[in-house]
Amino acid sequence: MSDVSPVDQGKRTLMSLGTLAIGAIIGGPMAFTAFQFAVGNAIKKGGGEGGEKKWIEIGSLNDFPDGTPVQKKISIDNVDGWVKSSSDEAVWVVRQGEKILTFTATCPHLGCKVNWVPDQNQYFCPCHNSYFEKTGNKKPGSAAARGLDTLENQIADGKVSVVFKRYKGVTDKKEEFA
Amino acid sequence: MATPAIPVPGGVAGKIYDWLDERAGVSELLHELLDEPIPGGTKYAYAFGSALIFIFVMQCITGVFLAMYYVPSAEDAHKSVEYIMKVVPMGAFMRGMHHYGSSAMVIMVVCHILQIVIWGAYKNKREVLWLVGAGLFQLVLVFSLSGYLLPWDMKAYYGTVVTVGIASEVPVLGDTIKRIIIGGTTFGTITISRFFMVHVFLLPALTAGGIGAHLYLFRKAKPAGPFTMSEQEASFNVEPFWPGQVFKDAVFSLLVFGVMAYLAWNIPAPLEPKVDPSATQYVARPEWYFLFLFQLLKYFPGSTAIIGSLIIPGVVMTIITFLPFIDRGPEKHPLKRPFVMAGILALFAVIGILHFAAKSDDNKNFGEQLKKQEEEGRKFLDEKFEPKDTSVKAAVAAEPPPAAFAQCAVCHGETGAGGPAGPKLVGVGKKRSKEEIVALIGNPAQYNASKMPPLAQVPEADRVKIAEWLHKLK
Repeated sequence: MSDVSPVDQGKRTLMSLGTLAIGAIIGGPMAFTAFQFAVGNAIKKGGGEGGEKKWIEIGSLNDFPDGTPVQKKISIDNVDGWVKSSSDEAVWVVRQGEKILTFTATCPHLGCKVNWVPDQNQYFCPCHNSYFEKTGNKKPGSAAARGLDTLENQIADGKVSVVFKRYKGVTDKKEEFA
Repeated sequence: MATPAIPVPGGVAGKIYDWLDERAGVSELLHELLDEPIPGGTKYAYAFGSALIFIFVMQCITGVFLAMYYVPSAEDAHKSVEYIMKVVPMGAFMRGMHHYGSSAMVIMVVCHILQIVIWGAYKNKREVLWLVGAGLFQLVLVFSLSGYLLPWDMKAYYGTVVTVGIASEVPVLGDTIKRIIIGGTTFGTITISRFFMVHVFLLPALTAGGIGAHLYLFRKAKPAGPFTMSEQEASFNVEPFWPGQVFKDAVFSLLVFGVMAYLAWNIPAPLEPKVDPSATQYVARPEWYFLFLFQLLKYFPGSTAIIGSLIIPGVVMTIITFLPFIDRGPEKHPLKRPFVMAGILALFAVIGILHFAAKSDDNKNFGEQLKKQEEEGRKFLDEKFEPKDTSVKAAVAAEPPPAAFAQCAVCHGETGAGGPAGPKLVGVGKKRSKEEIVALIGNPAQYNASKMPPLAQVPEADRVKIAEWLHKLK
């Protein structure tokens, strides 16, 4: 097919470019649609609860023995797509006299759950070996870059409540993941 | 060997192309795909087949994305579609493209068949090509029927109930066929799940394979060319597929895309309230392109029903499927094939008459109800999205009804879930204000609930309690 005349060749080039242009006219909006559809909501920041604090009661102050971490399960309300549901989360509670320390049980490294090991007097994350003191501080040699994330708490009429939040992992800065 | 069809780039890009070409045979492949000679030259009339592939690809893409949120269960299907329509960014557009794509597919497949029939392009050893095409046509129709159920709204439910009912008219095996389609004896999660599997896995795989076979056979048989010249004459006057025909195909596909996008953007795909098998008022109608078949059923009452539902459509489909074996002469020109052309015209005339008869019947007898249903659908889409509440709190909040509800419970059930004589009251709070409910209890007829006896003896204070409780019902 080497006998294509210059005029025909010009026409052929024009039609080739036209075909490509049409591909772009259809592909562009569809790519935008697909991107928004797939991840538009997921990458929206601050899509969580936001606004006012949700206090969740975890028991009476007197239920907690002084100086020993206790695990408490709390029920969190999530909006999971088209379903409003409840899921259980674990928090660590340490009573220190009339004060209370509360941590999430989520390791600030990559998000496994940390457990209290009474024999060693430390919290331990079995995923990548992170160790935390009773007060939540990171111990040397930990994979985590920061200590356990504290949760805001209050004691009113002898009842202890916390505000549950999720935090970003990996870095040494505590930042909410919402 | 680089083909002149594709401008070969120079410089680094050219070297990369050459490197790839030596290893993957790109040029050869492109030559095979694009330089096919079109007898008698390129034409817009040939664009329907390509447009069908374009729409099929679009349906696959939009369908895959819809499957990202859609859940095929009676519990979640409707809510997840509502979520797509109201919450997911570009969700209404994505579903709109898929919805109008199904209509476009049916229209285009009919155009494609018509073009082939008018051009006589099924002649001269093209029977197998045509048979595969006829199979693809039927797959398109099954696609449409199976997709119709998935949103699990009123029209999905009743439309499918009727379709399955028709399938059950098959002599001897009808009952078994019905059980197999439903997955038991009641429509529910098992039904949705198998329709989903058929619609999303089975049919796309069959269709993709069918398209592959269709294209292979088309290449093998070669395009038939215009009906004004013989195939030999046409073969002396060829134009390559690329870029002339590809460009025409692309222009036509762009037109199709433009219409679909315009509709999807401006007229959202309908979604009615969730399935309610107790809605006796509901008037079920199929998608517009099946309306003529629906009308046909009306002319065959009682035991003759099978004539309208299976025998006539079956005979017509059989004639279409075996057309190349019936119209065997070498003549391609439509005016010299009066029987086939008259048959086509008659078929379309009958379809048209049935379609408009169905429309005018509906306008006369159910105009108001159909309009009401449409409005209810629109209203439902305008309502704010409320997530389904399965949280612990919701379970606690479902408090027992007030004592005065005992009088209502006689008909509506103890928990307002519906009883032998009254509809369920769950969701009534969404439709009627508390004041309206209070007034309705005393005078139902005034509020379009004339079947309910007026309960003027219920004191105002109790009515308020009932109304407040109904508004808490989820």
